[in-house]
Formats: sequence, structure tokens, C-alpha cells
Amino acid sequence: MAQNGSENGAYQLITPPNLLKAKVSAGDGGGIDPDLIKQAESVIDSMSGEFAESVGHEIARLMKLALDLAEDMAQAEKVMKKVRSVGHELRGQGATYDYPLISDVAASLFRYTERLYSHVELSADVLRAHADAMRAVIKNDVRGDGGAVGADLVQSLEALVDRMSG
Amino acid sequence: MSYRLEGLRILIVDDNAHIRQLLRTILHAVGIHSIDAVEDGVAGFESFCRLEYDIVFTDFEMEPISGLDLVDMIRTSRKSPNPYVPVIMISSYSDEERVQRARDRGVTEFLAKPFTVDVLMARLQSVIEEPRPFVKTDSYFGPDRRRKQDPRYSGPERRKTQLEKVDVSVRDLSAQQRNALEESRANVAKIAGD
Repeated sequence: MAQNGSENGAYQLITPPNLLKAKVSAGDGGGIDPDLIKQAESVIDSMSGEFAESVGHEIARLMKLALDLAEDMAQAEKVMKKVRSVGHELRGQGATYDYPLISDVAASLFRYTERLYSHVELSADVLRAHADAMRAVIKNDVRGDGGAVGADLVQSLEALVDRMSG
Repeated sequence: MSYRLEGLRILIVDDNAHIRQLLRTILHAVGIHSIDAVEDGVAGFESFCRLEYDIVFTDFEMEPISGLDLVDMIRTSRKSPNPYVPVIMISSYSDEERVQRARDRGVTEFLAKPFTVDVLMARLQSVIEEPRPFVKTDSYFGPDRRRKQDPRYSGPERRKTQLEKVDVSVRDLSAQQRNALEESRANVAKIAGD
């Protein structure tokens, strides 16, 4: 039995009726209609252009943040928060729209912000490297995992983050 | 015969407008039209108490109350009209510690971002076909947290099958794409001083 708080291990197991299944199922077999799943995938696919455009905006934003940082280190704290937000947003979306490399690069960027002891260590070069990688993906419409080259790029960014943080 | 999903009512609680819209779009495309989406846990619990929902999707981190606090209220508040409702938690954070915390507060399923339509559908199917019994102890009320029999299990890393990474497509790169990625890689090497 999993954790419980009572001294003698007493617990109550409750099995409510499966009203959810009763609501959706005619009784025999079941499952979500594969045609509807394909339809949903097609809708998401049609949204990928919009996603790519939004990534373009985020890349421009990152480059601007890198510039702000390079010009004035006093901006570091503000820049860090924004970079973290960009990383968090994009890592959670890229692969949904068949841009998994965007998720991976953004995850590396987010990880960078987590590993830094303080915002004063933030490096404009690291921001630019990540923005540049995302630009290569979006500008050239690199869908899917990017093969060995894609993996190598992501690993190199992760190694850069390890070197420049922690 | 496939499910008839049009009778379901879903509640989405997420402070990210894009995720709310994404979930709504996918669920709508598979036939679910009664979908309410709110941007914080307080509004989420208010909605939950007002209407009868079949499934709740909630984000992990939100303000002013977290997704975990929302689940707590759904499971244990006297005002909760249905403490047994399946709750699917969505998050970019899928480390074991967070997943365990979510389970300990009564989350039914965990959906890691980024998710695909396939994985979302798998979670939906799971709560419909394999509802967990509920456990009540002095300190916990929620879905049974014991590991269910998973035919995909073949070793100690079993939990990873519950948070499967998105199946990414494998496509051949054009020469232009390959060059662009290699150029970017070279740029990283330059910065790293390699």
C-alpha cells in the first residue's frame, strides 16, 4: 500500500462507478474516433505557421535582450526574467507544432537561467547562441528531430550552458 | 464503436492563454464542445462548484493559488461538488519530484508539455477507460497512487512511460537545412572557444 498517515495502516478503498465511460460509450468497444484524432492533428498542423511567426518574434526579442545586456549590465535582472519566460514558453510548445528542436533549444535556454547563481552572470553571448539556433530552425523550417545535426546542435548548447553556469 | 464525446463538459484552468486555446482547439476538434477555460485557480474552483464537469485540466504553477492547491480543494473542500473528478495536470516541469508531489495531492494524470494530440488523447482515454479507485486515509484522499500494471513496463524506469516524451517526427534534412544547423553549431563552438 502507498503512503498513508494512520498508525495502523488503515485505509479505505473507494471505487466510484465509471460514469464517465457510461457517458461516452455505447457499451461495446470504445476509443476516440481515429478520424477525429487525425482532424485534430490537421488543425494543429495548420497552426504551425502561426507558431513559427511567434517564435520569430521571440527570437527578435531575445536578440534585443542580448543587446540590452551587452550595453548595460544593470539590465541583467530584468533581462534574466524575460529570458526565463521566453525559454519556459517555447520549451512547452515547440514539439506540439512539430518543431521539437525549438523545444530542445528553449529548454536549454531555460536551464541556463535556472543554473545561474545570479543574474549578474548572465551572458549576452549565450542568449545570442540560443536565439541563433532557433532562427536556423524556424527560418529553414526544420521540422522533426533534425537528425544527428540537430542533436549535435542541442548538445553543444547544453555544453555551453554547463560551461557558462553552475 | 467510438466514444461519443459531445456530452462531456471540460474545465481548463491555466494562466497561459496559448495553452488554454491549444487545449480548447484540440478538444473541440475531437468533438468536445462544452469547454470552459479560466486563467487562475480561484476562478477555476468557482467554476467547478457552479457547473458539473467531467474532466478538469489544470496547470501546475499559477497565482494566486497553484494547481496543486486547486486539486486539494477539489478533493477535500466541503464545497467541492465532485471530489472524484479526474484531474489532468499540465506542466513543462516533469521531474519526478514534481510528479510525485502532484500525485500526493490527488492528481489523476500528468501531461508534460510539449504534448502532441496523440499523448493528450492517451490521457483522455486513460481517465475514461482506466479510472483509478480512490484511497482515503488520515492524510490523503485521492486516486490510488500505487503503480498500476503497465504492459509497457520492463524495468526500473517505469515512470518514464507515464510521462512519455513526445514522439517526434523523423525527417530527412535538405542540404540547406543541414548547412543552417551546422552553421549555428559552429557559432556555438566559437562562443565556447572550442
